Amino acid sequence: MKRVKVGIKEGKVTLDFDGFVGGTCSDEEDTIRALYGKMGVENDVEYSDNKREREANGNAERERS
Amino acid sequence: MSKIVILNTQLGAPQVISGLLDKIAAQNPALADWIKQLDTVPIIRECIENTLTRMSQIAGIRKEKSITDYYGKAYAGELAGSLKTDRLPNGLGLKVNAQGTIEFVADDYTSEWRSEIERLRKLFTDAFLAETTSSILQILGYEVQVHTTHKDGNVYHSVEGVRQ
Repeated sequence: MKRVKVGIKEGKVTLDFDGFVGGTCSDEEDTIRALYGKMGVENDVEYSDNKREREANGNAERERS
Repeated sequence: MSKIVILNTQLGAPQVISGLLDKIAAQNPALADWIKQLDTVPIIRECIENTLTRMSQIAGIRKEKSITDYYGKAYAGELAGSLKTDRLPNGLGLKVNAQGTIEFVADDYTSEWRSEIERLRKLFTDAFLAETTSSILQILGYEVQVHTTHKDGNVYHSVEGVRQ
């Protein structure tokens, strides 16, 4: 199961992705950011927790599935 | 796997961020093409309507259709809706141009009106982000829930999407 939790405060959007396998997490992030742009929401990345992505690298998700 | 991304945002003209579409196309050309062709203006209009309704649930904010100037003359242009408060009785109007860009319209004659316009603009932007996020996640096949909490004049929105 894939889950995206989004917090919004003073123009800042926090996207918390959970349950994605490998590169699908970044693909989903890119798709959401592109659709924000198409909806008139200009956005740039202030912070990205890539360390968590590198550490997991999708292996744990694959082993469980 | 989990990942956290924090975005700085502001409202502007609808467009895809340079380079992002190429990145998507490298993984999924059909998805990139679909995003490129997607007409979002009707979705933006629906999100504005939902945003105005969501904001009318905040104490002291009323959802209306028109605005007036200092002399009481009604704005003649087309509005998607307006917001009024006791501190801004003439209202803050919302316009959407043909490209889907949101514009704010109001008479800002007094300093009290100006500060209230700024407060409402910020509240609108956050509520619109919540509605936009909800729409995007639904488009991508998620089941979505939106929660809004108000405390001491502060408003916080959270959106959660779940997909099997």
